[in-house]
Amino acid sequence: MKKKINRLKKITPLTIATLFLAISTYAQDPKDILSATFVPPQSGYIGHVTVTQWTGKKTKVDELGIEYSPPNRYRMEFFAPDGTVERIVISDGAEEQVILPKQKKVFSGMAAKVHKKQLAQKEEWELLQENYDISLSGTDVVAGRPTWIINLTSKVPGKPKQTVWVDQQTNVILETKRFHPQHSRAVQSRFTKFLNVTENDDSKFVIKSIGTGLTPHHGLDPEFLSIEDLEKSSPETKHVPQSIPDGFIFESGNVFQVNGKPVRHFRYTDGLIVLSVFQTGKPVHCPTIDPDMEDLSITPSGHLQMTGSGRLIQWKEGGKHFTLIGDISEERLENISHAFH
Amino acid sequence: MEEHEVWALLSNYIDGTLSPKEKTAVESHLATCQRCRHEQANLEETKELLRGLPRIATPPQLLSKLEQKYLSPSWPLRVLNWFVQPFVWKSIATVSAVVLFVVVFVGIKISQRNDEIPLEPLLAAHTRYNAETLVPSGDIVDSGFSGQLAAYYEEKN
Repeated sequence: MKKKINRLKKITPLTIATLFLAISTYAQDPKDILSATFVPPQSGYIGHVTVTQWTGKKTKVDELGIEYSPPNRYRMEFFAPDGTVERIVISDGAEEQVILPKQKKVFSGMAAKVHKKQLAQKEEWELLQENYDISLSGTDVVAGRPTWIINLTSKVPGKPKQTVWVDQQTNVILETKRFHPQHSRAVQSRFTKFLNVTENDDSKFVIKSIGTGLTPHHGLDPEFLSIEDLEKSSPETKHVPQSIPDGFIFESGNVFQVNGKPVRHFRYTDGLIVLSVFQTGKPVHCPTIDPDMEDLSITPSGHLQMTGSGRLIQWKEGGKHFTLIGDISEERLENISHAFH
Repeated sequence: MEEHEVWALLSNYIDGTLSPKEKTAVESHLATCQRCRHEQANLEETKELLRGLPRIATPPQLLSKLEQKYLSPSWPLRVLNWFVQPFVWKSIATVSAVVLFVVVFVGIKISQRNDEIPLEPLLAAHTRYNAETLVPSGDIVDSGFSGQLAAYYEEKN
């Protein structure tokens, strides 16, 4: 009896601790954890990030240093393999500048998440929950910091699976990975260093004008126009559907210029993934098919190819050219393209 | 008739190739001019001597050389004659047609390419919009956008 009691005394604290940890982990609501990441971090940080893209047999890696200051100021310096800075992105919260030192070019644009979208955040969040199962699979340590592991799994096949690692203290996403289980494509980014700071050097976020002229605008920022606004602004705009298969709905669109030619950009979202449909008057040049890309095919409905941003399909209709880009399987992409014919 | 005019005709007079009028004029002069009659006798003697010489066969290459030099057409005509030969003008026509086809085909392709819209800015616009999503894609810093912008302007330059 005494032996049993002694044994129990040894086992019990360990068991209780394990149970407590399990309970505290799984008592967390993954939706609450994920929605906490939508709010910009309240404190600044400095970090080092690597971004890896696998596309077929090709791998591309970006390495950068990042500095963030609330509410929306950031500076990112991307390194070349030799350690020199090959491009810099600076935001002062309203404007964003992309500096290309080697090309001696600077482009300005709008800072991310400044303007109001057509789809309100609450609606987008509901859409995400409608199309994805959100689950908490445990904890992990990233850049020396404890994180929650949240999985986003599509309710329909053919879409990628995404996992995010959320810092338990700051709710910053320290790591994320999006991959297709059946296709050779994945994107992963990870903080290798992360340091909370109370004060940043403000001079690092200053947008400077270069030379005597105005910094040219790259012209690729989204304007959040509705389908009706787009059709009113240009009669040549094709009437696109408000919703398309697999849970995607029209979010917004705009028109921009490439080499003096107008390009109409329609954007659809399922809460997580973005599909872009481009309408052009002239064909869009598709680069030469890379024989290293394994899962590449050409379908009767158009030219299908993989790019760094996902898959691409093109078709022509009524004298207009269309290019659909999205990070989903080729079967899903082809199915969705029929909604526009 | 002047003396030098008769002398120019004497050879033809001996050969009997003068016209009746010229023959009458030469005979009238010979009747009155001893010097010309002496010249006539010399020419007739020379003719007799040459007739007595043995005949030698002309070498064939000499004949063809002479023909080539004095009877063949001038070089521009020879070049033209060469060109109009069937195998020559057919070959030139075929090669010209092929070259023309290639030039036109390449010209059309270049013109089409210049008319096309590059894909890179479209990819960049797509990536740029990804920065507006609630949950970031696999690229939490949207490095794709600035990378695509850099790649596009590098290729453009």
